Amino acid sequence: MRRLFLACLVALALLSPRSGRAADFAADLEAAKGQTVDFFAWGGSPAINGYVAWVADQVKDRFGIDLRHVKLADTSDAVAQVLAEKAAGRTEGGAIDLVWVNGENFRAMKEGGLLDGPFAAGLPNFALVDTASKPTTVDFTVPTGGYEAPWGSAQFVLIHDGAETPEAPDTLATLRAWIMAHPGRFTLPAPPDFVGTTFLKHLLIGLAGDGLDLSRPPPEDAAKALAPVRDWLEAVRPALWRQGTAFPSSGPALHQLFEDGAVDFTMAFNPAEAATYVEDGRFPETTRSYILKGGTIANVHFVAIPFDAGDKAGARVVANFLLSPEAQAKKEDPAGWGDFTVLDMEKLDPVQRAMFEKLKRDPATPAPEDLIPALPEPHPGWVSVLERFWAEGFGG
Amino acid sequence: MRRGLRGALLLLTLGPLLLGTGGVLLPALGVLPGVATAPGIEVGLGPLRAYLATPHALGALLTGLGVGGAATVLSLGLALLLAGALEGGARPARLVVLALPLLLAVPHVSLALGLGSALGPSGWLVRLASPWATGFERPPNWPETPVLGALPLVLGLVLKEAPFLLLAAAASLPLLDLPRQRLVTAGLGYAPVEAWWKVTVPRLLPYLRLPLLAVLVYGTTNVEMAAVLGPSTPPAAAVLLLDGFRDPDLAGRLAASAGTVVLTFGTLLLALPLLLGSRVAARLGRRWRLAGPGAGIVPATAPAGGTLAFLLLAFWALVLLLLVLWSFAGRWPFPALLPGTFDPRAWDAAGLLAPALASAGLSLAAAPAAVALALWEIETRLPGRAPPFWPYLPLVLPQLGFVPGVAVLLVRLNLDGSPVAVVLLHALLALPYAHLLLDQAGAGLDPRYALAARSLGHGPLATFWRVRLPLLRPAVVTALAVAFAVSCGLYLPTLLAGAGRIVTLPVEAVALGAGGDRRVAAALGLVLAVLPLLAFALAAFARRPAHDREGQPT
Repeated sequence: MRRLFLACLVALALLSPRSGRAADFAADLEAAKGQTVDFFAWGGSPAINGYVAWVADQVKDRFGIDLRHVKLADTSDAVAQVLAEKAAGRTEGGAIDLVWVNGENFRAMKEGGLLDGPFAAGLPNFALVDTASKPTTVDFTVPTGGYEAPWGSAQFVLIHDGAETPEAPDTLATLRAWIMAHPGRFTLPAPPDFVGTTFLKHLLIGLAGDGLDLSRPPPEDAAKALAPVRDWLEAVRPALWRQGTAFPSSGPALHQLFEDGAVDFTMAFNPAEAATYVEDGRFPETTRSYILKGGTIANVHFVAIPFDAGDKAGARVVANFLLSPEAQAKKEDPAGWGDFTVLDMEKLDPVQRAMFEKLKRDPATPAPEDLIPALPEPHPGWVSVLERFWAEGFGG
Repeated sequence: MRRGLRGALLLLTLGPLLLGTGGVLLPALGVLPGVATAPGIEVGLGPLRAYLATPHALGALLTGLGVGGAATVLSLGLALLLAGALEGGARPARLVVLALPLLLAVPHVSLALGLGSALGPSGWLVRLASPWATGFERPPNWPETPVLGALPLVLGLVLKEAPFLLLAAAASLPLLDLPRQRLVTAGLGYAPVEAWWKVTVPRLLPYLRLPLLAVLVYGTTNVEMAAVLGPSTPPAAAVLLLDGFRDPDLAGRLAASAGTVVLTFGTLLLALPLLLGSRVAARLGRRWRLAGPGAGIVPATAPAGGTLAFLLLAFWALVLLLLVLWSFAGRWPFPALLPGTFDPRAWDAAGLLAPALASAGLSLAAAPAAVALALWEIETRLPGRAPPFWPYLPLVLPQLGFVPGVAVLLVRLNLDGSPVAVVLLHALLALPYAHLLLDQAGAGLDPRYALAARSLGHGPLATFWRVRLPLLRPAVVTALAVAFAVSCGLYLPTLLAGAGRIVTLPVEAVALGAGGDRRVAAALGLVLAVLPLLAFALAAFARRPAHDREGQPT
């Protein structure tokens, strides 16, 4: 009896809002026609820009939406923009309709009341999202609360040329030994670049993670807890590229060093990134990506709608299209961006699933079974702690 | 009438400037109007303390000020050497004059991108000597030191600013009545080079104060060149401040605002000796100058200037060549001097057409607006009054300082992202250059032309339109071209005031440059250089017939 009652409750909970939502989304589709959606998204990668241009063509044809990609050098510029609008007392007609975001920037926007929503669960395609095994409803330990819709998933990998350096050090101890034995051949992008910060997170997890609950905000004495990380870095520093006196400014800048032959390793927060560089002829054919033995951090990136967006209906329609099996499969194609899907293959019909199954995996991209285990992101509070730790001890 | 006109002008130019500065000063003091959440920094000196607690705050300040100061002194020295060599008739110096429009037109960002691929351990210059002379099969593992690390940025600034100072000097020289001075100095037995250093330079320096100030402020506060060429440990202050302004945390922004104020004061302090320096140097060099004609090291400056002119041109040629090569490069590993394969993909990926059109449209509107603002000031000024300083405020205030404040203001007026607002802001930022060029030309204009026109019964407007403007035409054309070029290169104002919706070439180039994509960045850098180049070519074309018909206006 009680079970039946519960089942009824669940059914009610599932059914009533959904029918409501379907009606809402139909209204969105109607309102979105002719809207211009300003999509603020990091523009540093031609492959990603090319994908967004494809999306723009699609939403124009299908929904009559003009999608404008505003290419950011840094996502926090978008946060600054919305903050400026809020500071100016604006509540509608804001410049940003949709923003590509996650982690620290999402937390800042959510806590600052800068976001519209919740809207994610109202998107019809959200029903296809893998909410069980991928962190699609939790962003760097912060619950999304439906204030952002998942877009893609990524995992941190190390990249090397299998022909030049056949050994691939896959623990922090062997990596340290390799660096010491090969002075000048390894470096990391300087935090606050997110790839560099993510590398530091792995040092944090591997060297200092035992006594800490990383899913919680960093403790008061976080700096003290970082002592083993400092020791590791201080030890290898003289053997880093340029003797640790300078660091590349970003992941792609490190890729440029790898391409120049200045270093033997690079790193990326996208297992398929090396493949796109091989495809472009910038990395050798023998390039390989791999993860550390204990696993590497995986996360999901999202799109969100600012509280004062001028074209919210259009933004929701675009967010829904980004979650469609077709758009997700296109995004995963290594000939383009190569970004992994957030959809649950079990929830797709055979035709939809086939779109993913026919994608060819480049040898530079690890197979899914080689990307296990995937580690969760530490609490976003650690980002500023690590950035500060780096700035004080190492970089600028 | 005159008062009303000037009042309106002040409102249009100083208004946004002061409000924008306020929008930085208030946060620098911990006050953020309109934001309810308490940032956790005390009002008053809190933000300053927070800035000074930022790692490397002082080192970055020293680097920024040191780089700007060194680049200014070196640019001035180089410009004077080049001009002196020109007086002495050195051929490479004449080539620099021919190339001047090109050197002025290529935006800072493009130069930085090209120079960045020439310098550094895996740069083209090391490749040139590798492995045959250096033995390097791989890029050398040189450490970066604070001084050596800052050299590429100083070099980049000098390559760009020395030609600008040379142009400013050339614009001022007509005021010195050199032909008659030459008769006197030659009669007294001075060789041309000697007369240049002992007589012309001391007379010229006071005219170069404002251009020098512009060079100094750009050198200490620019972000785009420092981000590409600058040292990383510590970085130049402006780069650190931009990080602060980008901090999603409000506290970071307040600290960055305070840091911007400190950087501005530091720059002004640095400017004092620089501005007074010309007077001090004139005093110190008095005995040497008054000793009459004689040899010493002076004759050697002409060949030295010639050699430096050659080096300057060589660096520029290399920069442009590397931009072309990188934009077409496929795989290009160290130490190859040329790309192993060629690949035009960068030219597809850049999506060049839309941003190029946006840049051209915006700057085509902003350049006449800047020139109009400048003429508005010059022509409504009471005769005999010294030129006011306020048109130069956009140069003296770091863009990083007042542009975010202007952007907040535009948002409040619901004008952010409107092309009109961006055009006006561009015009405001190009105004100092237009004013500089036009004011000197206007001052050199014989006031009797206007007096004659007025006494013949023409009103002030007709006098301006039919007498003074045609006489000023060469300067107006130059000012248009320079304002266009300045507007083309603006990144921060376009991004902030345009709310990101106005995507010009520099906006696109910096976004892609931040991604470290040398190829696409090179393609964008080249296109970015083409627009102002076209403007300069048009200006050269438009100036020539005027000269032929009317001769020099002075």
